[in-house]
Amino acid sequence: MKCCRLLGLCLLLTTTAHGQSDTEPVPDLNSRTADGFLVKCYWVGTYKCVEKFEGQGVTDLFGQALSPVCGKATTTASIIITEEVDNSGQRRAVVRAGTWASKFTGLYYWFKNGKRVAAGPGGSGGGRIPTSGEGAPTVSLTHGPDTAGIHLGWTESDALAFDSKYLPLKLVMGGPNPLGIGPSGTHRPHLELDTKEKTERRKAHVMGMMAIEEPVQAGRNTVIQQEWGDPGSDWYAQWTMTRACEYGKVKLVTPRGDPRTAPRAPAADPCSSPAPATVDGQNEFTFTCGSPGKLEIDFKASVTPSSAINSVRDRVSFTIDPIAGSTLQWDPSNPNGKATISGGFLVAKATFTRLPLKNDDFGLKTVQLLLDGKLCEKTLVEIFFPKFGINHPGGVVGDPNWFYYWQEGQVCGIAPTDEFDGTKPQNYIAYSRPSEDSKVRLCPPVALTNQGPITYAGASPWGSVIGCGTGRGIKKVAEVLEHERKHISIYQTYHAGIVANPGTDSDKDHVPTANEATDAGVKSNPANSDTFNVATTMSFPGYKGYGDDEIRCRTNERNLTIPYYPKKDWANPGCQSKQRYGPTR
Amino acid sequence: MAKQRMLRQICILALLPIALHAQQSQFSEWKIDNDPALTPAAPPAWDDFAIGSVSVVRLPDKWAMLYEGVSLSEDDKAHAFGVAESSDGVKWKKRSENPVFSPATHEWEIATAPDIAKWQDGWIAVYVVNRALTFEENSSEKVNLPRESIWLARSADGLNWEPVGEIKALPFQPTRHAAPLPCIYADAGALQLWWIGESEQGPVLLHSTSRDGENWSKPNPQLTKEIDAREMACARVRSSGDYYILTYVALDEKNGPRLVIKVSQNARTWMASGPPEFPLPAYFARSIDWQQAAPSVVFTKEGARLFYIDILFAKNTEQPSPRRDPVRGAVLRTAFCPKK
Repeated sequence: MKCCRLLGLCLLLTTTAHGQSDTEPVPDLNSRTADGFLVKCYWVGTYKCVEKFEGQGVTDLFGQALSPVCGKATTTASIIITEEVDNSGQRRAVVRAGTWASKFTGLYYWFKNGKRVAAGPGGSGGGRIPTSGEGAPTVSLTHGPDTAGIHLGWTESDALAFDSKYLPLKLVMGGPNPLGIGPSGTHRPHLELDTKEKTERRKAHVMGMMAIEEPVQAGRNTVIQQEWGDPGSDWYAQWTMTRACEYGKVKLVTPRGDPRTAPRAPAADPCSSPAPATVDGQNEFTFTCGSPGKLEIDFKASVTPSSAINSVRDRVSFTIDPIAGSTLQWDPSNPNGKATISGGFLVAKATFTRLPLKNDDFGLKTVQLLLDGKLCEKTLVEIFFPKFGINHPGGVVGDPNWFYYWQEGQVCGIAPTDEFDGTKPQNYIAYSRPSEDSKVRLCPPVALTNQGPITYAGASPWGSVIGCGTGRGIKKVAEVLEHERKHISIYQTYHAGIVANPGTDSDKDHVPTANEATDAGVKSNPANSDTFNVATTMSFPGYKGYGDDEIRCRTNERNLTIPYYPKKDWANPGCQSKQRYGPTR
Repeated sequence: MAKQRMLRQICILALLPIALHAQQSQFSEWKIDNDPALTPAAPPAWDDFAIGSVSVVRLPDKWAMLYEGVSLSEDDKAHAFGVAESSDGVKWKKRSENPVFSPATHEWEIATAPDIAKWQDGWIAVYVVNRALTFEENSSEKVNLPRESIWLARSADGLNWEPVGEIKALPFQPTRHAAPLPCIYADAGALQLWWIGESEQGPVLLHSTSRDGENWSKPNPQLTKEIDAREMACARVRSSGDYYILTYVALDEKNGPRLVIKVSQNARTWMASGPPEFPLPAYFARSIDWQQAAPSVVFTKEGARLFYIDILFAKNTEQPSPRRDPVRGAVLRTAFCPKK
């Protein structure tokens, strides 16, 4: 009894030649085919394979002449299969549509002497996958009460092939030996690259996949992920197969993926005008530099099957978390995030106007895709401010965004009393006026890359000292603050005593003689105001009078006590943006 | 007097195997827990395909691990690190802040094999960054870049990590059977880095120290054949009181890959001690790429707990290989060897 029940549950469906023609549309879910089968589910698969071909050939000249062409072959494919049942309960699987693309690139010869020589342009090809006949995959499906399985058979064939052009090698008698393979000289054969391209027919490397008894949950897609090899080796392939049995399944196209581990954003200056267009899958977005700043997000979703798009349009909407202090407005055609159709996709556009007041209001936001008000899918996006814009809503007008938000958000040690000064000459990074106050004034270059390490050499026996940090972005700011606060500290600690008793600082470098051996871990000459020649090294004579003060500030940059927080940096470019600048997260 | 001292030394040496044997027999047999310790999340998630590798530490009030999570989607495969915690080493809970560290800065970088240690007032981690096949080698300079690089990262709280920099001054060359998978711990105020690499004489176990994580001592090598006649991979060294504990995967052609534990007082003479060898899944020996998952062993007063990655294959074949057979993910398994 148990045996019969198992057989009844695990029906094996096989088709080897059951495909549709390229011109037939893929039937909708829950629709009837012309021969009476009901389409119950879709199986939608994507495939990727990357393979590196490498070889140096054998040692002798003729062996080297047979060196294989090295290069990298990349193949991708997608496929749609329908799972169907007729009134008698008979089931079948039909390959409905698919595409493939393959390329062979980076061609070179690699000889035993280590030399690598480019070997031609390679080639690429692609097109529709045959649904029957040569090159068509075979498919069989299994199903149980709460499991599903697939066996997709696929082999290389001439139907999925393309031309690749390469430069062959040839043996040449006498003359110069440009590759250095074989001896030079008259009547001696050596190897050269032929200038005439040859064409070889390459087959796309495709392979099938199999999954048995994958658990199926009601109301959810079944996602099957498989891989072979390792992306860190010379061969890697993966299949992702999704079984969807619900009508009009929608899926997010933009945004997509986790911006923390797989960031996607256009490689463009966020302050460029017009603003860079949204790219598919984009999950990082940056306000523009205009006044007020604007953040446009183009949402996009796909529908399976694509023919169902009209019937689901009015039922799909997008949502995004609010950004405090910024006004959200949906495009007039997308009230409250309701989708419209464009280019075969469900789309909507939202615009946030005005940058938020607080640094913490940037960062991670959740986007949701809703069908009939119910959650279909959600994903994360990251929101950034343009680093060099000046359109923050608070603080001092004209201060750069990085200064305002890194100060407000306490990202890298900028105190509430510190200021930005953009009026100084270009070489000014920061300065302080200890005799007046404890403020640090930061100038534009402070948000870039620090100039260290720099060795400052003193005369014997004082040795040399290494100063200046190496930080970028927020870390440079922290290093520069460390530097300036040391100047202030030296003044506040020693100045009054030196004024009262000038003899305590005989070389007048702001550091008393009694402290020149120990302050900040530096041992300087109490008879020399610039023991380590900071003035000469930095080509700034002004340091001559207080080089021993200055060197301590520079060494302090390398003993950073001011904390900085990459995870609070929402500048683009910054620590967390795809265009990274600064210590990484 | 000298004769008595020599006699005493002979007696000690004679008793040593007995003592070690006694210590070894203090442990019972390994028992694998029925349920995995950690599994991938339901897709889509940053760790929805596999648990890649782990580094487990036992703290006064809990167990903690930094684990490598792998996601696989139609777009790409991505690796990042997350934290999980447990009160008993058996049942683990992932932190909501995960992923806590995504070191890869390009799509073609694979960050993997983290190992962590307490250092100064916080944590330090060593990890490997591999170059994926999708890297475009469109210049001879890029072609000659090494395939793997070793990095350090620091954290004050174990949740917020920042890369410190690449370790460039040390040689990390794979052997025929072992990828460079450094392990790290802090002892006597210095960082201790151990890994298996290649030398002119053959595979060696290398050891380097640093007081600041930037300047490393010239590595001290020991031929692995002096430690084990079998090929070695995935070495992990820890210090415990007066002893060094070495765990590694021995690639035994006849009996399959096995997790081996040895101890030493001088970090040169290694003796089998503690729990018996643990037979690992056969594919550990098949491909150097899948050895990027060094088992982690933590000793408690009750016994030893082992954590290892178990690859899930889509097909039931007799001797599955990640290169030939489809992989549908990986989970973290744990086994316990109690003291008698």
